[in-house]
Amino acid sequence: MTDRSQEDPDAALMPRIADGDAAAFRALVDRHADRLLAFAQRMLGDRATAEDVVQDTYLSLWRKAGDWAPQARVSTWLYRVARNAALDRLRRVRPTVDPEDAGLIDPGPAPDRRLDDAATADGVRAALNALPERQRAAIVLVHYEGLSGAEASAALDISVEALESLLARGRRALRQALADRRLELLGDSR
Amino acid sequence: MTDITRDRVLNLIHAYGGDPARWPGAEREAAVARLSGDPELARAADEARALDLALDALPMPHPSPTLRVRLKDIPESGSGLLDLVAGWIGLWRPAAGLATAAALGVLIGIADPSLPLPGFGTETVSVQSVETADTDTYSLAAASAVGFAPQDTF
Repeated sequence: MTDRSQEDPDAALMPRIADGDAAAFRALVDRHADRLLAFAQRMLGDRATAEDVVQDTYLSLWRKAGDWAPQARVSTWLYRVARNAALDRLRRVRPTVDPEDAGLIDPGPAPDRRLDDAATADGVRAALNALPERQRAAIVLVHYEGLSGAEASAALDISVEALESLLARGRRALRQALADRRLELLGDSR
Repeated sequence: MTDITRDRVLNLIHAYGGDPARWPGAEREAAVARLSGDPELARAADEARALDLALDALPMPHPSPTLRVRLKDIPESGSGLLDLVAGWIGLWRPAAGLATAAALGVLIGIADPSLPLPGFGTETVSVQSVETADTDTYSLAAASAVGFAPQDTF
């Protein structure tokens, strides 16, 4: 991997955080907390646990900023810490999917469209939660968080080839699950 | 523009979806060119785009202002107590080790008073004094050095 400290706007903050600079730490909260929360919530399907994961991630950042190596972007490192924290919780208890999750944004389209979107969102949420953790992490990082293949593979600590395999298998499983759900819905409406 | 195989373009579609903007930058231009002249690849990209759209139906989770406040408090409060405890443990670890060893020693001594003290054997050694011209001076100095009073006899 190459040294990314020159192109990563967060890199200069890490030595300051390691020295106990609270302002530098808070700058990284402003830059990444929302995306880390979205990532954790999509990984776990549970808002409160996702907030705990993000809290753990930033505690690690505050305590271990000195361990960060400039070979990876800071955001990638944060995703890796958050993913590991989420994985710990997934191993402890499999969260349930809460369709009434109040933490989700309602985009506010027309009522009919909203029902269709809600049904699709429920299906996607259920299908995502049914994926093996590694496939889910790959899909969330690349599709929802917009990471490149190189960044997502670094966050998951795997090769780009392995990431692409996870993505392809995950997307195939999602397509199948959503097709099955569509057939179910069509069957229900008859 | 680098060359790219048809299989590789298919792999990109299956992994990253139907939007070329998500494909790796180094391969994107060649992959798009290959795609444009291949109806089967184009169909695969359309199917992948349908899945992309379905995935986009999942709403973006709300940010959490209260979480953000809690996170920003971490330097002052979140880890302060834990750091204090960790520092205290680090600072007092040697002393705690010595205290534990001492307490164990006392407990063992209470449990079995017959055990010898460190550096002392269990055998009784009888000392016989030998009268020589300088014995008294030597014996008194030696006795004084180990804490005996001059009136103690050997």
